[in-house]
Amino acid sequence: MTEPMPITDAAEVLNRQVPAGMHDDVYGPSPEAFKPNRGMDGFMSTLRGRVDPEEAYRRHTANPERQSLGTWGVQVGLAMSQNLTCIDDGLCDAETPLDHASVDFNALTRKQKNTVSGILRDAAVDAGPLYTP
Amino acid sequence: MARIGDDDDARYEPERIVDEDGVREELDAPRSDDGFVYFRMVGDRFDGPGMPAESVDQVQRYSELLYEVARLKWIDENPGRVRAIPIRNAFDLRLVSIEPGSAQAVFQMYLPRADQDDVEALPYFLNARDTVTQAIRDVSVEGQLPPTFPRAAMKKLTLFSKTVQPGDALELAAPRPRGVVEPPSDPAVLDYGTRELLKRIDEALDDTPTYQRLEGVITELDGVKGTFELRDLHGKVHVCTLGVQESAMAERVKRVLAADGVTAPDVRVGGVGARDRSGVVGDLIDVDEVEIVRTATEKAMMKKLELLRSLEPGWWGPGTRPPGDVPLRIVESLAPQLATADVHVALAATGDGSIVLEWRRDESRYSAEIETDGGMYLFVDHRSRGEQEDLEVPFNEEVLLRFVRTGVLDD
Repeated sequence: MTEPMPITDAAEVLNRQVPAGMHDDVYGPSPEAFKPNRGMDGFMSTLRGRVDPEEAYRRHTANPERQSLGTWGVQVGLAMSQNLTCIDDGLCDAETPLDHASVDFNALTRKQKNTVSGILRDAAVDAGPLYTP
Repeated sequence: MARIGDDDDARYEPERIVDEDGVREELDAPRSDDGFVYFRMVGDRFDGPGMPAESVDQVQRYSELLYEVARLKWIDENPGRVRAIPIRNAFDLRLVSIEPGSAQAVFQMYLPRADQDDVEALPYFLNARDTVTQAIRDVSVEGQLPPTFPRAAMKKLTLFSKTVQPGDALELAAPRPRGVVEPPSDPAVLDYGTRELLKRIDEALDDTPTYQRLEGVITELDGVKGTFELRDLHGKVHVCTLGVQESAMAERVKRVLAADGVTAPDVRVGGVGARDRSGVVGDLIDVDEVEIVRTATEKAMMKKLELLRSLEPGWWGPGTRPPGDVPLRIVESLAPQLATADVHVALAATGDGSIVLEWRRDESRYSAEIETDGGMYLFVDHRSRGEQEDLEVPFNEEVLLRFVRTGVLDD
């Protein structure tokens, strides 16, 4: 087990998967794809930027229950500017995989979460997908 | 064995007959008891010796049916020779015996004196025998006629079937090999239930062309011929011909045409058409109605809704839930109105069972989350002004649709 560590490199781009249920043919990825995952106590699940986006996709979809249209990026610096903390929590417990990083939304209200997820989404879409199969 | 025939009839060469394999035999040579076809009548009234006199009618109608099927097959394969004279001259089916202890009629097919006609006709009689047997088998087992049965012979088949009374059954099969005494393992059985099925099929075939309406997507338009192709909701393609006075309709067809063969509204097309033996409407003529029943946007929305409906627990990681019944039902019922909004409304699932509607207007981004507990969370981000608004209320259709159409956030 390891201790969670804040990620401070503003240039790092975390890998975030987008499922078909959160994607629209016209608008692309939904802001819903850039919100905390249910069951993760207000944290959004990503993999560290050192993981290749294709590898991030592969690891995610290795579980047959999980589906993804591809990998989009979340820049640590942008998250920090929205009062979000990015944390390296890979292997912190038995359920957290290697290279895992969480983005903490817990300090935000519901309205703020909606606002920030839209900002993260727009930046990810502007940058384009990092990997699509 | 009694023989129904007349040696004095100069048309016949009694020594020449055709057995179950179409092989000519000497009449007096040993042969299968079944003759041309295995034909057995079953029921209390057939238990006595011989067969009831009224059953002659059944034999006669069977003979007429065979002739009609052979004639139609011949015409089908000889399109320029509509009179079918060789078939008529060659057809001579005779009831030669009733087997003792049963009502099994034994037929023999006699051929006329040697000339070209009998050689040409023979395969058609054998084909007719097998076609009739197969038709009865398919109707009794599958409730439908095989495609090999000529539709024009349906009346004769129905007439033949009407000789079967409640409690009766008629077993038909290919003749058994010589010397085999066991009954055929899988005869075609014409009983009273099959008779009723045949009657209903005959009535359906009687359907004359009437005004019909079809729904589907228009995939091709031929403006010169005034025709277009409609792919219906089952994937069947219908060629539709516009009425002569419907020049404006061609413009309407052009507007709803799926240029890529897929993306287009569902339309309802009205015109004159007939149904086939399965009750399926065929091509339409005199088309005078082309109306949109489902816009392309609504169809796309319903398709997305189906995707959301298919999500399983855990679809977005541990603990995530698929969309709940309440939001699914609400969004489905609102799809026609949402599809006609002046903005594109996207659908997304959340991980907690809600469905989110998302759209944009000018520089602002809107969303409405339909929650599993009947609640509703409306949100708008006027990013250019740095302002956000939200509203958390119980679901209210009027409030939601006003928000979608005007952007006004007000309960």
